Amino acid sequence: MIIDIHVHPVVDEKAFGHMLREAEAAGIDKLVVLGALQRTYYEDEKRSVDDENMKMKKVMKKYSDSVVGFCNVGCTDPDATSFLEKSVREFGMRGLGELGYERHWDLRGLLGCHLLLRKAGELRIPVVIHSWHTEEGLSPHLEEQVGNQPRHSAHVIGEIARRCPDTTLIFSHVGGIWEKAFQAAKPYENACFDTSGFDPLMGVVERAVQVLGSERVFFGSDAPGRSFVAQVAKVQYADISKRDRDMILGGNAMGVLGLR
Amino acid sequence: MILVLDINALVGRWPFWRLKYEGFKGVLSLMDRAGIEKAAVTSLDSVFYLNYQNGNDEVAEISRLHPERFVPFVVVNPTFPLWKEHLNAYIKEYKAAGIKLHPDHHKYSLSGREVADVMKEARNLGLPVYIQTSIWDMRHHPGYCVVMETPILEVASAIKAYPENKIIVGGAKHFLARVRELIQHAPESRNFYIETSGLGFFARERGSGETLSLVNSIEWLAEAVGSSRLLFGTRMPLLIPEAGKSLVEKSKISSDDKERILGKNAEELLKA
Repeated sequence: MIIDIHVHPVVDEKAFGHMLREAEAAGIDKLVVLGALQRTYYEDEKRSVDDENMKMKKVMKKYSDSVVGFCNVGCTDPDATSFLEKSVREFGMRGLGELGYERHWDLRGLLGCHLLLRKAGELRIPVVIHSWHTEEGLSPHLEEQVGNQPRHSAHVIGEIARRCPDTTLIFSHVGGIWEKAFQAAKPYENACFDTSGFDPLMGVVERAVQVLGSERVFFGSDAPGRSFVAQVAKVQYADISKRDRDMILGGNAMGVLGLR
Repeated sequence: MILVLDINALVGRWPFWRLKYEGFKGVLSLMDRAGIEKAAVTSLDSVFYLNYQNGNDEVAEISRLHPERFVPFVVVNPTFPLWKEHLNAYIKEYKAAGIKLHPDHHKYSLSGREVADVMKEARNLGLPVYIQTSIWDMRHHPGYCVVMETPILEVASAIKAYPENKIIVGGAKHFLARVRELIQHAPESRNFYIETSGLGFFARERGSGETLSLVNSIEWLAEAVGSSRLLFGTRMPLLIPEAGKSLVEKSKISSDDKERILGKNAEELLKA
C-alpha cells in the first residue's frame, strides 16, 4: 500500500481525476489531500473553512477508496481549535494541514499555535506543517531569492514538538536543510518528516532512516506541483531495507490515519 | 533496444554530504542499475575546486578508461587565465563532445565578453554548450554557501544572441517554471535544448488559484518545443537516476518521442 501524505487540492473535477490517474500510474494507492491554503481565510469570511470542508467531503465521498481528506484552518485564528474539531467530527477529516502558508506567517506563528496542535493530538489526527527552515546569516535579499516562502529556524521543529508531545507532527520537505532539521527533531518522537517537494536527491531518505528511524518518515509528493513518478522514486530507490521502505511508503501513514 | 544516453552525469566530489555513488565507479554502478548505456560527464571538482581544470583532468582519465560508457564534456571557466588554451588542448587530446558552463558558481554574466568568446570557440570547434543555471535547489544551500542561480532571462538573451550555437539548458530549483519563462522569452529560437532532470508537473491555474488542469512537463514540452529538443539528463549521483528516467518513460508521448528524448537527440547532437 502506497500512501502519498502530501497532495494539494485540485478544485477542477476533471483535473482531479487526471491527478488520480497519474498517481495510480505511479503505483500510488491513496492520496492525502491537504486542506486548501488558508490565505483566503484572512481575506474572506471564516465560513470559508466550512466551504472547503464541504468541497473536500464531496471529493472524499466520490473517491472514497483513494482519497483521505485533511482540513486547514488559520493558525492564528482565535476560533481555530473549534473549527478543527468541527472539521474532524462533522466532516470526517483525518488530519490538519498543510500549516504554514498563511500571510504574515513567521516564527511566532508556529510557536503561537501550540493550542491548535495540542487539539489535533486530542483528536488523534496528524498535522502536516510546511517547513523550509531558514538559514542563519542570509541578507533579506538572499532570503527572498532563496525561499520566497514562509520559513522558520530549524530549532522551531524541536520546540513545537516538545510543546505538543501527544501530537504527530509531519514536517514537510524534510525540513529544508534536512541535516539540521533531523537533529532538531531527533529527541522528540512525535516529530516526523515527509519526503515531498524537492528534487529526488540521493541519500536523503537513507539519512532520515539513519537518524530518526523509518517510523518517522512519510512518503509525500507535493503534487500537483511535483511529479508522482519522480517523487516516489526517492523512496523506491533509496538504499534501505524492505521493511523501512514499506513503512515510509504506506505503513506509517496507515497507522496515523487510522486505516489499519 | 533503444539507446539511453544521460546528458548530465557528474563525477568528482560533492562538498555538502557524502554521496554513496561518488566517483566514476559509483556512477557506472548507477548507470547499470538504471539501464543507462552512456553518459555525458563532467566533474563536480570543476565546480568547487579552486582550479576547475582538475575536474576536467579527471573526466579525461575516466573517459579514456571507459570510452564506451562516458562521453567527456569540458567545463570552461572563462574568468580563469588561459582558459582558451586549456580548452583547445583538452579538445585536441581527449576529444570532448561538448562544453559546460557554471556561471552561477564561477560568477560571470552570460551577457559578458567572456561568454561571447566561449561561444565563438564553441562554434569554431562545432561543440554544443551546456549552461547549468544551478546545480541544486538553492533552498537547500547552507547559509555559508548560497549560490544564486543564473537568471533564466540571461539564458534567453544568450540563446538569442548566439543563434548559431547549440545550447543545452539545465537547472534546479523550480526548473519547469524557469523553462516556461525561457520559452516565453525566446519563442522563435530553435537553437536550444532542455535537459530533463528536475522537471515535474505543473498546475495550470485560473487567477483565483484554482487548478484548471494538471500538466506533465515532458508531455507539455514535447508539444511546446518538440521532442527533438529535449535531452534526458539525471545529475546523478546527486539525484536518483531512475526518477528522471521514469518521468520520461511513463509520460504519455509516442515511443518514437521517448526514444528521441532518452538518447537519440543527444547522439545526433554530439555527432554533429
